[in-house]
Amino acid sequence: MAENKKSIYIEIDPELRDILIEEGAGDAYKCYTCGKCASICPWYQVGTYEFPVFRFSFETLMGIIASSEDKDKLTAEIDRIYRCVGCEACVEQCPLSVHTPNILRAARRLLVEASSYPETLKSIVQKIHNVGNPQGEPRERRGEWAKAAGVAIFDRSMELLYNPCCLPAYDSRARSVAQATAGLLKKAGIRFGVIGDSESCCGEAIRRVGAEKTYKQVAQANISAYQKAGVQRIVFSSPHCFTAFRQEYPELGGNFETMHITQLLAELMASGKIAAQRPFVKRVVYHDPCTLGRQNNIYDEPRAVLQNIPGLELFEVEEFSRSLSVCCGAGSGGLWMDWHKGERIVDVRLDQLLATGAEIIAVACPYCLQMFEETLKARNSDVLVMDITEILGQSVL
Amino acid sequence: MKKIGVFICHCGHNIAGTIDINKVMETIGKYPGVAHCEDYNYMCSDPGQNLIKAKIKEKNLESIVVAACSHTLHEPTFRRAAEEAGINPYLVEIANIREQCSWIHDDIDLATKKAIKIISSIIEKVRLNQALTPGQVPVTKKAMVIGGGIAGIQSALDIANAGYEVVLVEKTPSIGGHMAQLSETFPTLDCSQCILTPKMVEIGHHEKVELLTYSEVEEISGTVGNFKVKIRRKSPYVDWEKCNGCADCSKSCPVSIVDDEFECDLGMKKAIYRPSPQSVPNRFTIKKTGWAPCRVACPAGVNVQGYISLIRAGKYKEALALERQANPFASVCGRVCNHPCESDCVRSEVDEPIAIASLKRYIADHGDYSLNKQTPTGDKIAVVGAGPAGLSCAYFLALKNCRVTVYEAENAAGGMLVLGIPEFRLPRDAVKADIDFIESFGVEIKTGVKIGENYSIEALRSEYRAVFIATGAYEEIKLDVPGEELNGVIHCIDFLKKINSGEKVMIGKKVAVIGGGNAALDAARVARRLGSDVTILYRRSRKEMPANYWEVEEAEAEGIKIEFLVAPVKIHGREKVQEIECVRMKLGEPDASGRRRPIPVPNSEFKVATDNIILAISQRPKIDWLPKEFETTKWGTLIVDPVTLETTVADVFAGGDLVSGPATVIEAVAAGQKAAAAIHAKISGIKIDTEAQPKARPDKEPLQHLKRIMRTRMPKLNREKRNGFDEVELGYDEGAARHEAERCLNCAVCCECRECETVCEPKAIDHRRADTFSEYEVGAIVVATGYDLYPVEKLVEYGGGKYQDVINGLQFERLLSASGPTNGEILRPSDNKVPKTIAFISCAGSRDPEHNLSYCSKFCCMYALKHALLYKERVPDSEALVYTIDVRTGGKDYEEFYIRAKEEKVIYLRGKPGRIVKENDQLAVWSTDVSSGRPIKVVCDMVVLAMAAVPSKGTIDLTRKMRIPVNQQGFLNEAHPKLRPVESLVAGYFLTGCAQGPKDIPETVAQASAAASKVIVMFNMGTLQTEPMIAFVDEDLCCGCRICINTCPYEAREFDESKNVVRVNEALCQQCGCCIAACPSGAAQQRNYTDEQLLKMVEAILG
Repeated sequence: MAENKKSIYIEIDPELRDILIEEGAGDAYKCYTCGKCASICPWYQVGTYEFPVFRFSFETLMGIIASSEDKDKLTAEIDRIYRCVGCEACVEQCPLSVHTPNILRAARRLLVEASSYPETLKSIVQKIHNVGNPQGEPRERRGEWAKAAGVAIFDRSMELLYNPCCLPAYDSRARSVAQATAGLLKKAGIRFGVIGDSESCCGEAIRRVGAEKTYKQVAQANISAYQKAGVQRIVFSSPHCFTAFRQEYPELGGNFETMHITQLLAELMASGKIAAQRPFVKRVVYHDPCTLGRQNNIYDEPRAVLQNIPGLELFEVEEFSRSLSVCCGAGSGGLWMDWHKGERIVDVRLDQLLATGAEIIAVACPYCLQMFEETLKARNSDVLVMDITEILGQSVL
Repeated sequence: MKKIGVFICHCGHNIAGTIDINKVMETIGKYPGVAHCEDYNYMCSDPGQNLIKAKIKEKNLESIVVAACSHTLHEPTFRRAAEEAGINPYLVEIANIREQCSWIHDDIDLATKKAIKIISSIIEKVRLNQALTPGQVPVTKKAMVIGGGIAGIQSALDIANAGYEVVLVEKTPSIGGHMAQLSETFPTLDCSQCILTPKMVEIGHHEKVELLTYSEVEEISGTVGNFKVKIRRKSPYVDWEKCNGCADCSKSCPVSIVDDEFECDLGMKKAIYRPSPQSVPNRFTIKKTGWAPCRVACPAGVNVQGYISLIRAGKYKEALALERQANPFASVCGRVCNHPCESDCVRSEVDEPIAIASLKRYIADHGDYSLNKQTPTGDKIAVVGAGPAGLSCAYFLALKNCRVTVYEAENAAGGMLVLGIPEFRLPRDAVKADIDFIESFGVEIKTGVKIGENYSIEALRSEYRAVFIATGAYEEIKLDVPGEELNGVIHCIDFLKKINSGEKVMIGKKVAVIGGGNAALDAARVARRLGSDVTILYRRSRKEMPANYWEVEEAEAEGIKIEFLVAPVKIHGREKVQEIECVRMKLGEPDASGRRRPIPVPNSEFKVATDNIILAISQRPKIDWLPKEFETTKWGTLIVDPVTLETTVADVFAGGDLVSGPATVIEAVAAGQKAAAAIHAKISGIKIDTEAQPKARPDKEPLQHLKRIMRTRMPKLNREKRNGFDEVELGYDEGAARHEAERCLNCAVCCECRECETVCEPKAIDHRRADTFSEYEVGAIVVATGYDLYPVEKLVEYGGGKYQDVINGLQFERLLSASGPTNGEILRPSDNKVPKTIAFISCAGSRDPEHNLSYCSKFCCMYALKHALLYKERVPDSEALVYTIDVRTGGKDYEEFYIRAKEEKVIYLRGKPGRIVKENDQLAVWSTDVSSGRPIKVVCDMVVLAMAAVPSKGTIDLTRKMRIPVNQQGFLNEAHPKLRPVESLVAGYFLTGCAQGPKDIPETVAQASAAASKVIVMFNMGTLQTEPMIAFVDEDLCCGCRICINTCPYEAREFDESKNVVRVNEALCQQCGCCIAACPSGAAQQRNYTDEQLLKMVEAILG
C-alpha cells in the first residue's frame, strides 16, 4: 500500500476508548441508537448545523472521538464537541438515560489536557484559575456589591449564606439580581451574609468545558473557605452554582444544605414572610433554566412566586416549557462561545419566548439573563429580561 | 449409627472446575457415619444413578447425600433412584455445591472448604431424617378462569371440552377482551371479530361453563386442589335473567357518555349499554356512580341531572314529571330558587355552571300543566300555612293518598311567594300554576282561617291524624335605633305585602333600604319601580351580602346604589323622617355565621337625607299563638326532631321558616317533603328511607381537555322597560334550553330518569339492585387477566393526551374496525378529516427503562406494520411512515408480512422521534436519520403511538389476593422461564396470555391451551400428593397457648380442648414454618426439619 494513500476504514482504538470510559463516558455502552436525543437537542431546532448526538456513543465505543489526523477535520471535530450546551434535554428523553453531556465532557477533558480547545474557553479557565471569576476582575472587588447593599460578611451567628454567582457579583447588569435578592432576604427578616473575597467561581461551567483540574482546585478552595466560615445552609442565585454545590461538591467532601433562591422565595411567600405589595402589571413568560428544571426538577416554585404577584399575567411557551424547555445556549461554556449568526441556540429560544406576546421574560439564572439581555439588545427589542428576584423586588421592595 | 452414602457430582466442569473433588472426597470419606463416598462426572446421568443404586445394595447404605446442583433440579431424580434401590426417598438429601458454591466462587481452596461444610451439614441433617410417606388430598375437579379475553376463553373451552366444569370470571360486562376490539389480525389479516365471535358464543352456550361477567374476585382461600373463591357480582342494575338484549332501553336513554372502554374514548355509549352488539352475554348494564353533585346539593334532592338529560332528549313532559317527584314548585323554583345546585356544578371547573334553574323554568313554562283531578281516600292530615313548606308537605302526602286540608290565614295561598316576592321576579301566574297543580291531587286549601284564633291546634289534633305547621317567619326584627318610630320608616315585609296585594303605597323621592338580604333587594327594586331614588345601606362588604349575587347585579343595573360598610345609628326628623345618621364600619374577626363581624369606625358618622327608610334587617316567626307545650329555641323558632320534624307535641310536625328562621323556597320545599315522609312513615308504621348515595363526579383529568362553552344567557326585559312589574327574566326558548342542557357533564353517568324502565318490556331494569356475592370451590385457577396499554399521557414529548390526533394502537384499531365509531373509515378524531399522512411510532414506552418498561412489548412491531398496511389500503395516495428502533418479526410468516408492507410503499424510518409539535392543524414529527445523522421533519395529519403493554389494571390487587409472584412490572412470574412457563410457583395457579408477559394472539392461544392441559392433567389424577415434611406438635411440650393458630395462614391448626394441646390438620399444612417460629415452647416442629437437625447442621457449618 502506498504511503500516502488514505484509508477510509474506521478502526477501533481500544486505548482511547478506555480512557474516555474512565473519564466518565461509560453510558456509551447503553445506547441503542434510536436517535431520539438528536431530535430533542436544541441544535435540531437551530436547523443550520447537523448535530447527531447519538454518534458520540458510537465514536466512544470505537475510540475514534476527536481523533482525525487531518488538521481541518480535527478542528471541525473539536468545534462539534464544544457545541453541546449540556442542557440535558437528551438525557431527559433518552429511554436508556445515556448521559451524552458526560460523554462529551470526557472527550473535552482529553482536549483540555492536550490544550486543544477553543481559545475563548482557555482564557475563561485561566481567569477562573487566576482570579476566581470568568470576568477576570480582581478578587478584592467580589464583595463590593454587598458592601454597597449593606450585606454583612457571613459569621456563625447567621442562619444562611447567600452565594450570588460571579455574574451578579461583578456584572453591572446582573448586579441588580444580587441587590434584589439581598433586599428580599432582609425583608423576610433572615439573618444572612456573604462570604466575600475568599470565594471563587463554583467551577460548574469549566468542569463541563473539560478543565477538571482547575475545577477541582477552585471547588476545593471554595469548600475549605465555606467550611472555615462555618457555613451550613446556602441559597444560590444561579442554578449552576446550586448544582455544583448540591450534586458535585459532595464528591470532594463539601456537604452543605443547599437551596435555590426560587425555592426559598416560594417558601417565604407561602408562609407569609414575604408578601407581594405593589401590582406588577405585565405579561410575563417564564423560561425554565435547564439547570434548574431538568437537572434539579424545580419547575413549580418559580411559577408559584410569579403567580403570587398581583397584576402579573404568566405565560408559558406552550410546546416548550418545563421538562421540554429549550436551552438559552449558555450552558457548559456556551456563554462564551460565539457561533455564527444563524447558528445560535439563543435565537431559537428567544423566538419561542417572544411568540407568547410577553413583555417580560422571567428567568431564574444569571446565564440565561445575560444570554437573553445581549441578544434582545442586538435585536433592538422592547422586551425585557428580568430575574424573578428583580420582578418580586419591584413588588415588595 | 446410620450408614450414610455420599455421592459427589462433578457436573463436568461446573463443579469440578472450582472445587477440588479429591480433597472433598478425602475429607468427607472420613466423616463420622459416612459408609461410602464416591464421585462421578454426571451423577444425574443413567450410569450415575445406577452407580448410586448399586452402592446402596452393595454397602447396605441407609441414607444418601448427593452433592450436586440445586435440589429444585434433581432431588426428584435421586429420590426416585434411591427408592428403586429400596431406600425411603425422604432419606435422600441434596447438598447444593453448584449454585451456592462452585458457580459463585473463584478461589478453589475456599470453595472446596465451603463445599465440605455444605456436605457435612447435610450429612448431619440426613442422619436424623425419618422415613416419610407423602399424603394424598382429593382435587375439586372444577376450574376457575379469571379473565375473559382470548386467553381465558381458550383455556375455559379446552378444560370444559375435556369434560370438567369451568367458572369463567370477567370484570367487564362481556367476554372478548382486547381481541374483540381489533379489526384485522396479523399476518393473515383475518377479521378479528369473525374468528373470535364463534368462541365467545361457544362459551355462552357451553353446558360445562358458568360465565360470570361484570364480576370480580373478592377473596381467595385454600390451596391447590381445593380453593375457595368469593366472587363479587357487580350490579348491572338490570336483571340479566330477564333482559333479552333488545336494546330498547339504550335507545330511550338520554345520557350519552364517552365510551372509555370498548371504543377507547373515540365513540359514545349510553348510560345503559352493552360493550358491542357481539357481546356475550348479550345483556345490558347501567353505569351508575352515585348522585350528581347538583342532586346532592339540592336540599329537596331534586334529580337535576335527570331532568337536564330529559331536556336534552326533548322529553320536556317527562322532565317536569321527574322534577315534581321531589318538588311541586317547578314554576316558582325555576324563577326564584337560590340554586345551590349550580354552586356545586362540576362544569364550573371547566367554564361556568349549568343554568339549572333556568332549565327548570323552561320545563315548567313548556311542560305539561294539565291537571288530573284526584281524590285521595286515606288518613286526614291538617297543614297550617299555605306557603311553600305547607303546600309541599300537602302535595307529598296527597301523593301517598292522604286527605290533606291546608289552612291559610291570609286570603290567598302561597305565603311569602305571593306576599314577599315582587311580581317582576315571580309573576302570580307562575305561583298559581304550581298551586293549582298541587290542588289537583286532592289537596284542599282553606284561606282566611287563622289557627289559634278561629280554630285551635287542639281541635286540629283531634280532627286530623297528624298536623304540620308551617306558618313562616313574618315578624320584622327591629333596628333598635332612636327615631325608628318616625313616620316614613317602613318595614320591608309590610311594604312588600302591601305592594303585592295591590295596595297603593306612597313613598318619597329618596328611599334608604337597610339590610343586605334578598328581601332588602326586592324592596329596593320595588321602590325603584315606584320612581324613587334608592340607596341600600349594608353594614358589611359585598362578599358577605346574603342576597343572591345575581339579584345584586340586577339591582345595581337598575340604578340602585349600594353603600357597603355603613350602619344606621339614628334617624332624624320631626314627625317624619328627614335624614338618617350612619357610621362607617370595618370588618373584624369572623363571627358565628363565618362572616367577618363589622366594627364601627370611630368618628366616622355622617348623615344622608331621605324621605323613607325601609327596614329589611330580618324576620322571625310569630309563635305567641302556639300553646306552651311547643318548645322553642332562644331565637324564637320551634324545636323539632331533626329527622322527623316532629315537635315536642306528639303527631304535630313543623317546618319551613317557622323552624329554620328566614330561609329559601327550596329549603321550605325540602322541609315539606321531609315532614310528609315522616308523617307517612309514622301513620303507616314504616321506616323512613334515608339511604345516602355517594357523590359522583367525572375525573378531573378529562375535564382539562373539554371545550369551553359559556352558559346560555337568560334573555331579560330591557332596562328601560323595567318601570312596571313585568317579569324581568324572559325564559329560554327551546333552542337555548337544548343547547344549555348539552353542556351537562353527566356526573353520575346514569341520571336515574328511569326512561329505560318505561320501555323495557321484560321489566328487567332494577335501579336499586345491589352487588351480590357468591362462593365457588375450585381445584385450579387459570389467571388470564391480560394487558392494558401504557397511557399516552406519559409521553409528554409526543403530546400524548394533549393532542387529539395523537392516539394509541387500540384506538387506531377502532378507527379501522367496520363496527367502530367511524364504521371503518379512517377519520382523525380532531376534525373527522381523512388523514393523508400518518406516522406510526413503535416502542412508545417499550424498551424504555426510563419509564420502568425495559421490556419489548413484542406485538407492536407487527401491529404497527399491519396498521400502516391497512391504512395504505384504505386511503389511496396516503403516506404511512413507521418509526422503529428495529423491526422485530419473530414469528411464522411475519417477516414476509413486513416485506409486503415495504412493497406497499410503507416508509420505514430508523429511530425514535424526539418531539411531536403542533403545526397549525397538523403534527410535525421531529426525528433524526440515524444513518446519516441528518434531521428529519415530517408533517403528519395523525400520529399512532404503539404504546407499551402493561399488566391490566387490577392485576396487582388480584395477585396479592392469590399470593402469587409477579415481576418488577407486575407481569405474573412463571415457575420456570423455560420448563414451566404456564404455571405459577404457587401450586394450583396457571398463567396464560399477556398477564404473564406481552405476546401475540397465536402465542396466547397456544399458552392458553397449555395451561388448560396442565389443569386437565391435574384433574385426571384425581388426587394430589402432599409433601410429608409438614408440621407436627410435641404434645408433651405444647402448653396450649394457641399462638400458632393465628399465625397459620392455611388454618391448618386447631385446638384440642380435651388435651389442651394444638393439633395439625395434615391435609391443610403447607410447610411454611410460621408456627414453628411462633411457638414459644418448641413444641411445634416440622418433619425432617426439627430444631435438633437444624442445630446439628449449624454446628457442622461452624465446626
